Amino acid sequence: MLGSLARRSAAAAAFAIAVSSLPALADNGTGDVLQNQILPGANNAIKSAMDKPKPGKVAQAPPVSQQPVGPQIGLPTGFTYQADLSSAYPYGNIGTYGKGWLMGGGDLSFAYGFNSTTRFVASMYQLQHWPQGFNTGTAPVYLQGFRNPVGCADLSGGNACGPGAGRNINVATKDTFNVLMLEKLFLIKSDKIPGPGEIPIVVSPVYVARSGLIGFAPNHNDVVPFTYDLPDGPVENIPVRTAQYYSVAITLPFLKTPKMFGTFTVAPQWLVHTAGANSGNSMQVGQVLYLEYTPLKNTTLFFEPQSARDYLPTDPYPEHLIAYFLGVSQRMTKYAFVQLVLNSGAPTNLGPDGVTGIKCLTVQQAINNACGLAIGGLKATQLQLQFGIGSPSVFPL
Amino acid sequence: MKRSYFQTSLAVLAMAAMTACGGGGGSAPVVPAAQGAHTERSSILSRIVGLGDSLTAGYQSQGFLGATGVKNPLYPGQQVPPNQENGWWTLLDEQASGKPLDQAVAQEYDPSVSPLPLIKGPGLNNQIVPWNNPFFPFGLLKNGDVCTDNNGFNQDAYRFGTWPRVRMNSKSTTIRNLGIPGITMHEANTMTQPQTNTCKALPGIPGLLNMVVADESGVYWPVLGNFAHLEPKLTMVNAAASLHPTLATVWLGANDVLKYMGSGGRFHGGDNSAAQAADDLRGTINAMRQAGAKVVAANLPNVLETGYFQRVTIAPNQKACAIRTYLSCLFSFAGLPNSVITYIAKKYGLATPNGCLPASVDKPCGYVTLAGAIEIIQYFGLSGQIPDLDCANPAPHCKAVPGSGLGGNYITPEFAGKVQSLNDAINQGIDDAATQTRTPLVDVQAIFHGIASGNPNNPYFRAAASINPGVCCTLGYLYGMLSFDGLHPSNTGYALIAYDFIATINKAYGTHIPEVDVTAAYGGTRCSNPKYCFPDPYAPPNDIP
Repeated sequence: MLGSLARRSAAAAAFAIAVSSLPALADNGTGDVLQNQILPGANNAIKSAMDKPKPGKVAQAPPVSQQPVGPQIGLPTGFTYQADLSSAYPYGNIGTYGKGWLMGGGDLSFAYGFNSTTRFVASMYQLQHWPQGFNTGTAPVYLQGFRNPVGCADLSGGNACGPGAGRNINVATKDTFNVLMLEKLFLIKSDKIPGPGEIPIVVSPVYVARSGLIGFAPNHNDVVPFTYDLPDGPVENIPVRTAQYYSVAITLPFLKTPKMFGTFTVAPQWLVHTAGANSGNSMQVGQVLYLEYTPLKNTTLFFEPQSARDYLPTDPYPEHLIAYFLGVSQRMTKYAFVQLVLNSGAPTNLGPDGVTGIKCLTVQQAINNACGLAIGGLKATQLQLQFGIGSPSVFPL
Repeated sequence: MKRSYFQTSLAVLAMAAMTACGGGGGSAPVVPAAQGAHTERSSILSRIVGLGDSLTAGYQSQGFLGATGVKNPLYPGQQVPPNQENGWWTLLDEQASGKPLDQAVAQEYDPSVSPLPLIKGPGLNNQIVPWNNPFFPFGLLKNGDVCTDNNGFNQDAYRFGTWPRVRMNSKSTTIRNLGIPGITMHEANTMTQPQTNTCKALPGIPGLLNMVVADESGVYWPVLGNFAHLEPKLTMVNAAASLHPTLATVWLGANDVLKYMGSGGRFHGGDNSAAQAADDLRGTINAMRQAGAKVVAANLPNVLETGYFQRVTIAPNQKACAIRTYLSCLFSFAGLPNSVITYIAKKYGLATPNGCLPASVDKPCGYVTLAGAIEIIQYFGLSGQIPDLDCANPAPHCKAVPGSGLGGNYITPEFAGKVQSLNDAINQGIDDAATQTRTPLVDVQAIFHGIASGNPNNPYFRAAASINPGVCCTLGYLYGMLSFDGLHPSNTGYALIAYDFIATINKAYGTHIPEVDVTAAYGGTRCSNPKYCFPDPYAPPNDIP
């Protein structure tokens, strides 16, 4: 009993931790939400449902490798919570200024399960990243009218190049996601389904409101001068990390053995409204594949490739983000876990200018540090370390 | 002795420039001529609009001036020649006006009706003018700080609120020549305001960028100020479109090459590939077409074949000086020995022992720029020493930064190859855009390359050399095709360009614009008013060897 719960909890914890680390790693926006908020609960419910003893076999002693029967099938019921702190170390060509452990984010999640098939979740999580796309080493500087960069800016406060030499632009970004979600577990039954004759599926309608903080933003928010149309601009002040999404995630399993588990999630999504450079609001479909291996009862390895979509005010078109997450999670105590995740990802539809740059309307703006930034299409590689606690129902032991 | 001759000859040249007495003389040209403007004006000629840079603006000798009667302080009794009214676009507009030339020319000078954004005296930037000085024949019109000279005349041009001060016709509604000196191909489509609003050097910005942004920033408002109502979408192209031209001339790209060259290759902001140039030019052409215009475009001359670039190969004889530009020719006038050239060529790696071909990518030549040559002459004349061309301010024991003089003072063969490569790429882009949009193209490159060839069988060389046989005109520095800055055409050079624009327009669109009389432009006889029509101030005197 304890062992089986431990395995499940480790897996669930792995999901939760992996999810919460994803956004910091690749800044996947809705992909982050998929990972941090939707998949853990959905995977947990599916796994629980698939572990449900089959009729007529209850009296049989399960084999050693088989998942034992748990006391609770499906989604956790009642009030549950989860909290964690995390920090990340960025990799890639990000220069020396941003090289170092990033200040971690805090995550909070509260949920209430009405029954084993219906649960409501309200959560907030934060993540920090230092985008490689704005890599803090040097960034090209464009002036209006010039086709190509006229020079570069040393973002580290050094004097590597100019114009803009000596200026120190702190592009450290901290994103905050607020998520409201309803989880609904369905069991699709059919005699044609091999094995237990049923497949659990979780459908999760989600509302996400994200905002952010850019290090150099003058008002301690994410409103900074921005241009998406290099080299010509114009430069506008817009909240570059603020957006709201609707999404409906559908998660279904494709693998279940005593030590392995896999699900596939598709999540159609829409912006609540367009903003900034957004040119339209057609449905975008994110996809996540999740594979885990549990060699020991408190240890879980997982690999998660995904094709997510992000659509920030800086994006004229949705970003197609291809990313992977490779991690290991270890439950330390009944309520505590630690997890290490390597993540890397980048959008596949970068603009012709490589997306990043500094755009000044006039040379004076270059002097006054009032240039627009082009940040769209972030690429990031990070190693995430996370410590968390959670109620047993979320991280069952 | 030689120094004395140098001074004398250039002084004569200067006098010719100011008094409209020198240089002229009219031998029978090969170039056919017509004496009057067209009487049956085609509808596509009713509103000709010019888009371009300094070449379209009529810029000469590092100055931008429309006013007449501006006194030359360096040569008492002489006047500074205006240039806007002598550019090729102006000549085209006159020829296509359908009016008698006397009237057509007078209208270009008349602030109340002129299509030119006429600049008051002393003119913008700092024109090179003849100098009544026993040691040096040229000088700059404005002494000291050009930003504060004449109560900040240049500075006023940088700001929207003060630009009217520099214009003779600041409230004009007839402006159709929108050439902005210094502008690049992309800027023509996108630049909505000057890069800077100050004439002074920008604090915290490397000198290179100061140099790059200075040109167009100081003339943007004086040219486009009358179109400010188009803000925030005011660009040269949008201003031109707002005029609904019937015929638009588009000649851009020279500054994409010159800014790269002048920065020693450190500036990459301009178009740097055929694809970028074609993309920008297509944008300009399409905008003009959408505005209802027929369009004619032009490609670029090889900038390295202009007089600004002084080859370090020793000229084989004096005759060669009239064909191409050699540093030894200028030094010969100034009395500097060829050993100075040998020293300079060796020190900065300019020599090409196995020979070179001008405007070649594979076998390029090394050059000292006109600016570098003048610096050497002045420094040598004062101290008897050769200046370090890698010093920002040459002086004994100055702190040189090796390579920093590249582009400004000298051009190594390797860099010359890169400049020519960019020149070729821009021209390829222009050709591509013209072909794709079926736009008639004036092959300026072929014209100037032909003249630079010195080949008597080349029709362009033959035409130029026949303007005043034995005297004028060739691309050798001070031999008539170019103004004192060595880059911008003389009155005669502009007339030759106008001639080919007119020929291309007539052929492409079936118009009958009478051809400009190049020889008359050289001799100053296109009209009867000597205030407006005077012998080419940049043509060599008749007694030049």
